[in-house]
Amino acid sequence: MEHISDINMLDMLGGHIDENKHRQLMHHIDDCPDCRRRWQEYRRTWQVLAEFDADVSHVDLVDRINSALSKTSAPSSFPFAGSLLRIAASILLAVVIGHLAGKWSLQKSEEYWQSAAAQSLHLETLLPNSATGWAEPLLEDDFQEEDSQLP
Amino acid sequence: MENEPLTDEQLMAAVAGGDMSGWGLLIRRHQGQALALAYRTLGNWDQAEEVVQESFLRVYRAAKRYRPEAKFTTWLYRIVVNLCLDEKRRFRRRGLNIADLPEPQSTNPQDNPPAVQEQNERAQKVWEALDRLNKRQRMAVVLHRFQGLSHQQVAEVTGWSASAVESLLVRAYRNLRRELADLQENDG
Repeated sequence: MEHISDINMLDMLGGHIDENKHRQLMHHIDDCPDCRRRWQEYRRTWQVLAEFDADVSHVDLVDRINSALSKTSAPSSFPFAGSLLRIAASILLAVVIGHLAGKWSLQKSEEYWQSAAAQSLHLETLLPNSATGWAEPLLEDDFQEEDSQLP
Repeated sequence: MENEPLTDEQLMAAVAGGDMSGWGLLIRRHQGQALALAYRTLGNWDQAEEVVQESFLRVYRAAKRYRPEAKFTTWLYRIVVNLCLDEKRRFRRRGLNIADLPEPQSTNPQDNPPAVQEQNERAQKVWEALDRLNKRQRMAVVLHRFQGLSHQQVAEVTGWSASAVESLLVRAYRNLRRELADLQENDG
């Protein structure tokens, strides 16, 4: 049999190894000097740790906890409900503000284009001499006319 | 069969349904172990009681979300462990060490005859040795040695892997053996 692992020894000390396996391991410990030495070391440390006593037998926190509980909210089946509600409200607010701002912006834009100055500016851009204006379309006949005028 | 005590899971289901009649029983059943865990982790009774109080408040608030697939104590210990680690972090950020505030002492009011004094000194040495471990090693030892959890259960409570817990426990016990050599009687 292989040597017993440290963690198996520690779980043996804690009583977490079933009876059969525990018996097998103890047989091995009896026969193996190396495992026996390690087992005794772990057992001594285990026993010494028991010195760190935490006597809680007389403590009763029920009243204290219930007093704190009276200041808290009831159990919630959905802990993020509050947060979700806040997020939904924020999104709704953003949509409403966006909608109103867009509407205002359109209104301003219409008013602008309806103004006389804007109209004239608008028409100016359509003049033939304007760099950005419409160019009159040249038809095939126009070229023929030009050709016929050549000497 | 009719008089069998209600299980933790049944009590939690009742609390979730608004029936608080078993709430006190649930607290009384687990407050001792929760308090011992918090005290052995923090080394201070006041802080430990705060942590346990907050832990049960969280249990109450989350009662409707509790699923009995997880053992109640695993869930409770996990809350206590997390709150203890938070508490230690909070103190460290303020440049304090909780362990410097108190000395471990029994809360039982009693005189200090020499035998008790010697016992307290030995407890103090064990406490100091535990306090010198890093926080993960210490948490693993407290859960394994004092809360009676197997290394697999320690892994469940802490969320660390089983192999990490193995390694933490072996190193922790080795360190403790060295630190506590003078207290260990040779039992052959």
